[in-house]
Amino acid sequence: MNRTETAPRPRRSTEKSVLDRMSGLWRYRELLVGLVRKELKVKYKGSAVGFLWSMLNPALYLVVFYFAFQVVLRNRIPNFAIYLLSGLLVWNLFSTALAGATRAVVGNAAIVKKVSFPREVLPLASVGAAFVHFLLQSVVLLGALALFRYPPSPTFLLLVPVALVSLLLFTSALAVALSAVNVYARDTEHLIELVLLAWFWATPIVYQYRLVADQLGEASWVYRLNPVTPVVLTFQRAIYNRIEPSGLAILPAGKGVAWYLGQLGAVAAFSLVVLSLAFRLFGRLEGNFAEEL
Amino acid sequence: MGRNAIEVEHLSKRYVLGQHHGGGSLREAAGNAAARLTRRRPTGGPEEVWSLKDVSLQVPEGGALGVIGRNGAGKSTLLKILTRITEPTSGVTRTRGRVGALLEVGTGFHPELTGSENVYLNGAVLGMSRQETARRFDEIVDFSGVERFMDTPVKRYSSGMYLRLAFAVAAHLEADVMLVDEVLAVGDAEFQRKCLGKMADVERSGRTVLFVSHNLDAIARLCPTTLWLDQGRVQALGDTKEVLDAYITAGLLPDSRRTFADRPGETVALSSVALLDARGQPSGLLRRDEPFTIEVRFVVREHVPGLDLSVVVQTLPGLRVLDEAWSDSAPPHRGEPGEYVATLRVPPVLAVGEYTLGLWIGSAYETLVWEADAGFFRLDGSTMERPDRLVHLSLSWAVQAC
Repeated sequence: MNRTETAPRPRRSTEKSVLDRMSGLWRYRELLVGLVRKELKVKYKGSAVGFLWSMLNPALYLVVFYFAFQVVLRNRIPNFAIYLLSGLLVWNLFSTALAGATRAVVGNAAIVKKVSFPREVLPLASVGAAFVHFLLQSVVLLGALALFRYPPSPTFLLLVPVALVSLLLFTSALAVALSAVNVYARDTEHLIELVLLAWFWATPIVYQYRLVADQLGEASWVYRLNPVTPVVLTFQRAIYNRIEPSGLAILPAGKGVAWYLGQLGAVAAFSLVVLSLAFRLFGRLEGNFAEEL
Repeated sequence: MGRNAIEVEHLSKRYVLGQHHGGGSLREAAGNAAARLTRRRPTGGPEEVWSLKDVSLQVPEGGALGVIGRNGAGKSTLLKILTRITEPTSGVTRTRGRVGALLEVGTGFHPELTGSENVYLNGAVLGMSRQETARRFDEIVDFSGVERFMDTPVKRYSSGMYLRLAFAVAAHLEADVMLVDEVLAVGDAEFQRKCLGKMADVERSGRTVLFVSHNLDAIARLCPTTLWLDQGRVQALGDTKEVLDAYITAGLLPDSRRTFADRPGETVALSSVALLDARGQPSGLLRRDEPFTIEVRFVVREHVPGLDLSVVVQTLPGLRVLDEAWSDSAPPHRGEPGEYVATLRVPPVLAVGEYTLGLWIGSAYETLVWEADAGFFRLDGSTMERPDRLVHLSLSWAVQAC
């Protein structure tokens, strides 16, 4: 019996390689789009302002953090709104994607138990939906830039797509792994909320990178082991575009495009390794999804 | 030509009871770990269940195989393995071409989305491209009969509309191999006829069909060959008429009580069922012109508020003649733990013929037991040369000269 696409094949999903899984995903790309669309539609169904909520979220964060850090704590970062938004949008993409993805397989138990399709589509749809929210929230940032007539860095803006790809790879890797682990250990979805909270404060979003990095000195690379940090730094470098305004050390000094590219490249390479491990883990755990749900 | 669309070789599937990775308690996990450490296998009790044991079969391209068997025979497991929802413990399955499944349709529907949105999303879940769905959209809508509500969120649909739309999407999937699980048990009689017609179309169009059903008449009409599964093993595989005859003969309620295997852990378990003739003797062969009694014994292990029981009698073509619920005539049972015997006396109103006896136990909120083929029985006697009638009431006439 020949082994072409339509020929019968012995099947055990454990035999599937990562490449097989990717090609399965590609065949179901329309489902991915459909699920993203569903998540967005369902989220704001019946709400009067709909997608405005997506934009209100960073706007409200902005008000709260502005009040807490500039008015009460007096952190002196000039144009704090722009600084905060450049990092916060990245963070929102990362954290909403992971929070959603962790519940993705468990939450869709009904279809997982009845229909066969590449299950990785479910966590990836959460990443996709978070990305759409990110695009909507970017409108708030663009609005702020226009309002304050604030100039970003044209050179570094070219790095933003690279940063986004690195972030999406890293997010997808964790999303796929966490969604599968949560089927077996339901505590994961509660634990991830706490981890994300700690992770948020370990990333230079509301405070400046140099506050930590300068203290560490030579060992500042330790701080950048957090894969979200280089992405946030790139956004801040491109959009906030001030390294030491009014004498306050904010972003890494004397680093050019090459340095940023190197950092992002490392994140992307690391993420690809994690992603292939995540697919393998998912394949291992997937066999018993129907029984565990 | 002459190729097989489905090949199954020595397929087995084992379920281990009470050993869930996720759902188990810490104490159980510790117990299991201790058992592993001391290299003792957990002993005693039916902890392993072979849902399928050494099943082999082939379905040629364009063929249709019926699958019958009582609850727990492994029919659903077979479908789940063929659709790759779950993995076999051992053995190999091969399928040629795209596999489509009609297993509990509508599970991918989202209540907030409109009918059309759900058609596209459900199509995608089942593996149809957007283009493909768009091409068949009108056909799907037409088949479902809910044209007017395509822009309404499905949460406003009646359950019948919901199922019809869901079936319509699944039935229009362009698959080479269709796996069908008891979907025809939904909807009204007219829709069921439509579904059966659709299944016949699918078969005529050269696609391969594997059809699981309790409706023996539908199996007889659609499938030339039939597989009879019993407790995970192949009991018979071959010409449909012969397999069905054997199935019915074997299923005829014996001249004693039929007992059911105990499934530990269930809230309510069926213990036995028997038919008692007019003299109170258990019998599988009853006289049409005498009343008989259906006696059901069951065990309630945990308190079930509002416990209810229903006896369903169907003709072999699947026509429901009786569906008598306990709560029709008595207040719902308090459902306290214990062993119970329930009896239902049936007056001599059913026509001569063969019947399926189904038993349902549950409450207003859930189904706890549904044994669709609890047994078969035959009513013998004179048809009075009117074999086509279903009921036989001997109503009293009033005839007067006027």
